[in-house]
Amino acid sequence: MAKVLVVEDEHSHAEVLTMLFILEGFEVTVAANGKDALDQLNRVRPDLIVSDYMMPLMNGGEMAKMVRAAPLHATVPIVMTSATDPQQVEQYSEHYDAFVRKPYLWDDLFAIIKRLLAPPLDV
Amino acid sequence: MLAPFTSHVPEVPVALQRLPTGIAGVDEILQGGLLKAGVYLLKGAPGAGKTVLANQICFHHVAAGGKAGYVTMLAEQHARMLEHMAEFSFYRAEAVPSSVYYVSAFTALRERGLSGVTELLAAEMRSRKVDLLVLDGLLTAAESASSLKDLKLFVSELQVYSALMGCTVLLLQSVAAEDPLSPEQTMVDGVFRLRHELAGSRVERSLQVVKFRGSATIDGLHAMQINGDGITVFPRLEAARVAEVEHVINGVAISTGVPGFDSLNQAGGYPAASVTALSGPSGSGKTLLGLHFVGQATSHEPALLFGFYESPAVLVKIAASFALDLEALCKQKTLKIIWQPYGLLGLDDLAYRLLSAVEKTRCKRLFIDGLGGFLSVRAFEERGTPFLAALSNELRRLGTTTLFAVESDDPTGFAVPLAAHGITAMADNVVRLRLQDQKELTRRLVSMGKVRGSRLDLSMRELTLSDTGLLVVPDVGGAADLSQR
Repeated sequence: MAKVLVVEDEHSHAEVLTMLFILEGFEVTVAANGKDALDQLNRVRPDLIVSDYMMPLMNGGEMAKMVRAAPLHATVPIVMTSATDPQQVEQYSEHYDAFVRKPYLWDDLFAIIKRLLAPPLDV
Repeated sequence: MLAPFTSHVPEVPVALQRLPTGIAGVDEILQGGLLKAGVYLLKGAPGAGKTVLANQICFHHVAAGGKAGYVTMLAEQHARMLEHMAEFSFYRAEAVPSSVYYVSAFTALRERGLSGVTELLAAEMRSRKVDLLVLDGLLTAAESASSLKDLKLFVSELQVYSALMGCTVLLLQSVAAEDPLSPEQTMVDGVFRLRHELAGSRVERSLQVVKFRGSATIDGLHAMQINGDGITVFPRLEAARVAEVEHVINGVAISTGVPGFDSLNQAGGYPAASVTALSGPSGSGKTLLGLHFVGQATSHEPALLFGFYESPAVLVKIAASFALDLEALCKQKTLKIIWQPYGLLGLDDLAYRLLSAVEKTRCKRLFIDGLGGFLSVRAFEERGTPFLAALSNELRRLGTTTLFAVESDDPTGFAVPLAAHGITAMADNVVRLRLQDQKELTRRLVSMGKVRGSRLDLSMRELTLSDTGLLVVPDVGGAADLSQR
């Protein structure tokens, strides 16, 4: 079962995402902000991180930068989401794998997740 | 590392796309329909029409290729509701359950509370790819919530769910429409109030949009009806029809059909696409003037008679006694006579029936017999002047030349309703009819009160009745003297 770390300060959003990930067969952990996510990283060892950008204490961009710097988690795919202009998040673009602007449809988000988690093709 | 990719952003964000309700009046009020992925509250007392409205929207949505889910939190069975819905023409048995799916959340609510309902919604509706969801029984949910915080959380999660799934949600709540909005209700994207109340011996229904995020709406109370076709909503005419009338009076006149009458003004008849008030007491000749007018119908100038008093058969008979063959015109489809029940319909219902008939018949001659049919509606007292102004503008815009009879108790013809409701300001032209007693004889007199944009003969003329109907006597004789008395 793949493990996803949902980093989201908006409680309702985190709850619904959790429900939808569970329905897709994921094991879900929720962190309320970037700092909380880093605190849980070693314990959860996620296969995927879906993070909001604007959050208290530590934003999603800083969190992604720190994850990339942690040797154990440097390759974990990160999907950044935000209602802000993508240019605001651009400065962190080398630290995440995909950006999805809010409000987004679950189907669009999940299509990206499936691409990120798909095993590489043998050449 | 590969550059990150960005999700496809649709040209029109989901949040601004529309979901038409399929109810023309509602879609007009909302300027196109509900916003996709919005959460809307329909509130009203039992019997106000919430369930019918929600089901009608569902069946319209699935007819257009969507999928709808109808979830009740009540203990009652769906079978009974479906039995009632089957009576409406919008209901399609074959759409249930493949396209419209009915499910009860009663057990989930009882056993696991509101979070159980949210889970059920997410699982059931997602697997069925529902993009319109009705949740019937918000009051039940509110009563089951352990705290206001829980209830707000439930509504908040519904909003997130609807946004993530691109699913529009209708919440139905059985409370008096006038109840103030509670905190959780203020969180939704739109609130509709449905009312039904007694007006004399008849029930008047209305719909009001009290909140609608992301778009302007037509404000105020809009008349609503429920019949075999479901719900019909009539946007309040004076708020809905505000487009400027481009048509200008261009000097073209439409013959009155009464010998000697056309020469009373410079235009040579009623100016085309104008509105004329025929004012006078009972028996002064208003209806007959109107019958002459519609009796001139041709395939190029079709006519419509919109009446409240005499039935079409009686009108045809009256006209026939003056050699006006309306029956033949009806058979040729150059004339249509529509009768409306007096005092049974609302203002907007009448207006939209009239405008729809004008559009359908493309009539160039319209006779409304008479204004009393509108005056008898309770709301006229409050809305009369702006309502008539809007109606007149619409008729001008449609290019029809309109006569409407205005009843007056005043035998001198200075009709009270004309002054009381500002009708003279609304009408382009006024024809005054009066009755004058002279010894053993009662004479009919006519004068032009005004003709917009035309010079006119203000003198009073006598109207006489012959075997071929009315005619204006060229020589007024003693009529002018009589008018001075």
